[in-house]
Amino acid sequence: MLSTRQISVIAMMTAACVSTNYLLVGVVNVKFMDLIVFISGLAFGPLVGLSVGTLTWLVYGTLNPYGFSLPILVATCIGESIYGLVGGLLNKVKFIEDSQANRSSILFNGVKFAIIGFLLTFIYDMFTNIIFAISVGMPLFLVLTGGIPFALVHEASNVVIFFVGAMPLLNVINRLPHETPITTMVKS
Amino acid sequence: MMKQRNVWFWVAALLICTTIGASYATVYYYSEAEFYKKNYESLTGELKNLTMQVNLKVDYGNGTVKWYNATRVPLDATLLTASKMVLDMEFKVSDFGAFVNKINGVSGDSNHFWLWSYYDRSKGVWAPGQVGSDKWVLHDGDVADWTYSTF
Repeated sequence: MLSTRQISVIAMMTAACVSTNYLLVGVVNVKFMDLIVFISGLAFGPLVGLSVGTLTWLVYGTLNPYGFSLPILVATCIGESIYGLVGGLLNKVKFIEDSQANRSSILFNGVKFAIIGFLLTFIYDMFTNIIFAISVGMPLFLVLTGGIPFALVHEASNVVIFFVGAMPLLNVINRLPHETPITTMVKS
Repeated sequence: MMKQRNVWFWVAALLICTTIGASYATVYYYSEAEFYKKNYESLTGELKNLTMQVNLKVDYGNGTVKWYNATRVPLDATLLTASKMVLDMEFKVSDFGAFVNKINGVSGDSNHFWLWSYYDRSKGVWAPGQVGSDKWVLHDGDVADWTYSTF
């Protein structure tokens, strides 16, 4: 059962995702949403991450300037929630080094976030492309090869966004008033 | 020791990322290459129905001979139109047909003229052109010659 605080965090993070998505609607496959969903999971747990990912796509996928498709909406909801889920699971392992220690730790954290961002985006793109191919009845190979330029843009942009944005976003969340400080969730 | 192992784990993860990226690029460029290859073959096939291939020879009269083999020209091309496609020519057209003054910058000798001939396959000899080059309609596989010579 979600607490009031968790529900408010979900609402806040979902709003941030949706607003940045509409802000970047003209830039295909470059979005801050993936990072926000991932950090939601990392900072507040897998359930919050899952919820933010799913709710974001329920809004953005329904009121989407590129059109609405139910199978795609389901695929993107599931795909996006993977970011939150993995973020939440990484919360439970020693994922982040003490960023206050030195520059190399900050850099190493950035690289780790970039790698996670790349791999999660790869899984997301692969998953949504497979669902798209099945739902419209197109050959899978054609869809996957046709989607490579978009996937590369998505993955490259997420590498940059995760590398640059993950630690600052996490630090900002750390400054928010907490029932339980995130520093205990994010082991250092 | 633990930290060193941790670093190698992330190095391995990074290599997986670069492998995925490289695989993406390989598959993408391979499929693009196949796409353009198919388009090229299709276009060439269509072009074969609309064009023919002829072989042109230019003899500059000084020992220099240049061949323009397998020159693709329109189906109704005359020797003049075919020659203009591969050679820099100057000519005058009269009632008797086109008279070529210059080919690829070679002219000026009052005793020499650009004359054309064709290869008669049935007899196996070069036969001099009987009409102006603009009146001689070529056929697929024809072999024609421009020679800078005296009469």
